[in-house]
Amino acid sequence: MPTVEQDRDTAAALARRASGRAATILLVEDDQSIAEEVRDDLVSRGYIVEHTADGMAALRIAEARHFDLLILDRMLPGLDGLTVIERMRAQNIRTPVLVLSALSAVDDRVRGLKAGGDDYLSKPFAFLELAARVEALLRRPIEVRETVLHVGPLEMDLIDRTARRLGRELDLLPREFKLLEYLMRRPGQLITRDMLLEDVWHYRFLPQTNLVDVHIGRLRRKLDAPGEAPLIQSVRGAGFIFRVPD
Amino acid sequence: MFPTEVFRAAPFRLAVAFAASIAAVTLLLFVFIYWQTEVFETARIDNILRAEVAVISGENEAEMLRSVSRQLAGNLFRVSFIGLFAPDGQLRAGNLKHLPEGLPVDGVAHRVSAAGIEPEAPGSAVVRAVARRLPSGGVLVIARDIEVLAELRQPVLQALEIGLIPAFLLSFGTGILLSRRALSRVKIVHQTIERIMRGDLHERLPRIGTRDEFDRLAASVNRMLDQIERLLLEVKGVGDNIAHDLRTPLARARAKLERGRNSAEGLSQLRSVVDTAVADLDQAISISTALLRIGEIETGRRRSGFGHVDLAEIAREVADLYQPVGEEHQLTLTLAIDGAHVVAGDGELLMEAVANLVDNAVKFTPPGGEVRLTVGMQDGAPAIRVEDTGPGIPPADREAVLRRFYRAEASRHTAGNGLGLSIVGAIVRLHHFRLMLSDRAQGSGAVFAIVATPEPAAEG
Repeated sequence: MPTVEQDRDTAAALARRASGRAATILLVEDDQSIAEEVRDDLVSRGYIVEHTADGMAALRIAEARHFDLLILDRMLPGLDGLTVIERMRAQNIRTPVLVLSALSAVDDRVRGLKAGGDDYLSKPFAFLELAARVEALLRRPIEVRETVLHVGPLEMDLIDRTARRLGRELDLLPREFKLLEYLMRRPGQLITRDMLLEDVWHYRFLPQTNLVDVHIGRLRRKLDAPGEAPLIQSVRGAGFIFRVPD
Repeated sequence: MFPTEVFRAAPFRLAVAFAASIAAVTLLLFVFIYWQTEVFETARIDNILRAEVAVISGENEAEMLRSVSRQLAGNLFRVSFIGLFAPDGQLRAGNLKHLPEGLPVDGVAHRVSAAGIEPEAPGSAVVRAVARRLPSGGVLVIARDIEVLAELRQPVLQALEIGLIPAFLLSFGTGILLSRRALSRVKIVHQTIERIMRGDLHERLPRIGTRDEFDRLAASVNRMLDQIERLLLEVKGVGDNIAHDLRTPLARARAKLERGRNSAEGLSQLRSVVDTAVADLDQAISISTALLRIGEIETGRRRSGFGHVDLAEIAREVADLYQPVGEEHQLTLTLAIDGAHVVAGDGELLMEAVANLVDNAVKFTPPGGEVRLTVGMQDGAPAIRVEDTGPGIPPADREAVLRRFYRAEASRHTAGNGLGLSIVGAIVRLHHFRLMLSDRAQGSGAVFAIVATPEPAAEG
């Protein structure tokens, strides 16, 4: 059962998207220099950023006002990051939370997500990676009520596990199907290699080989027949964007 | 050494407790002997008294009077009393003034206070007395002083003193001696431990060679210290390697940035310098990430995620994942599975280990080669083997290959943080599996095998 808060949050998100208003982000990070860089980077990407260094203060601000996203360091003075999330969730504040942490160990990551975080990024990170995660959290993936997903020239039957491009059947392996579904639900969004490894392959280590690129390359060759516009674009040093041709 | 230290020492306390219990037991024994003697002596006196009364009371008047005076004549120490009383209670003969109060006239021995017989006797003194009615209607009383029994006490107490006090002193002395000995050894151990805690890790506890419990304890503490020292040296070695491997990309990044600041012309050139410096920093970060991962696996907390895992399933999944990568590198990736091989383990971690091995093999095998993934029995246990047709690893380097941070010199030009195999090693150790490294039977190439622990044949 959706709660009132949840409805309000969803409504706010819809209103924001409709009006094209910039998303508001509360950044909670006690390292001044990292906080400044992150804020400047996010502001340059068009977000409205408010910053605090203290966990207690963060909780008060989040209780008082609505934000579209919280970026939260795990180790904070005042109140630690996981407790901030737990208290917020206990009050039905459903703002998505991106947890930042210098602890990269898998167990810590699991703990962060269990506490109610929506994504977890370990420090140090690339700004592009952070930006991709922020965008992914602000734009929730496309959910469809029907069992068929339509994006641009592509059509995907989620029950039959089949996909077509303009009526042409695509011969996809199960893993390729999962990869394409992930991309189709996030059109126009930067998807990093780490996101694919984590979300599509549930991989917890970074391969030394270009594993992700190879799989994307294969999928690309199956998607694009000669003469057709490429659907998956590479972003140098960052990842991929699934782009629907105009 | 302070005396209080001696008194607090365990051997001393034991000795004192020992002496005390010996004293208690001896005392009990003596009390028992004394009591038994008294009972026995009293019974003997009673019998004599009864017999005498019986004999005398059977005599006629004249004989009776003679017997009484004979008795009195032999009674030099006034320990016996005799009285022949007329029916009206008048004393006719004897050394008793009157009939003892409260003495039943029944021919049986009774305990009577001496005061009733002899007014000058001490109040506590008691006698055994027998009264018997005579055919004439009179009463014959014979009594004996049993103060003599109290005299028994004297030698008993003396024996007690002679026996007990030396025994007690001996235990006490032994206690002090043993305590001082134990304390002096404990003191040496203390001093040694102090030195070890101050950082002198080569110190070991002394052993006397008596093979007593102190020596055995010292031996096992020393073994523990050996192990700790070995681990510390290992950690130090690893720490040095970490510092070195982290410094390398950091040094490169630093050099590039410095040169870029001084000599780059134009923004685009500066940007490309920064890009390569960032790549170096990423390399340093990936090293630290891998190290944290190894640390996490090695703490062993993840054994909680153990279950039944089919090695064949893992091999299939990894092969599926790396098939396209192999093709990209112009390699054939083949999979050979002879049925299911279920082991106890953490599926995700084992997948990570096998993927690391395949990742490694793909990286090191030149184009046109083959990477072969096999699941089957090896040395009687389920195993996954990853074979490649790369340069192989010289036997001399194999031991080191599995150690943290090592990368065969020949492969330095290949990208990577060199920690993949260390992660595999940590996962294998967590499972108590074995990681084996050998050469391919024909041609060059390395064979890595993860060999599980042989499981007892499943029932049914």
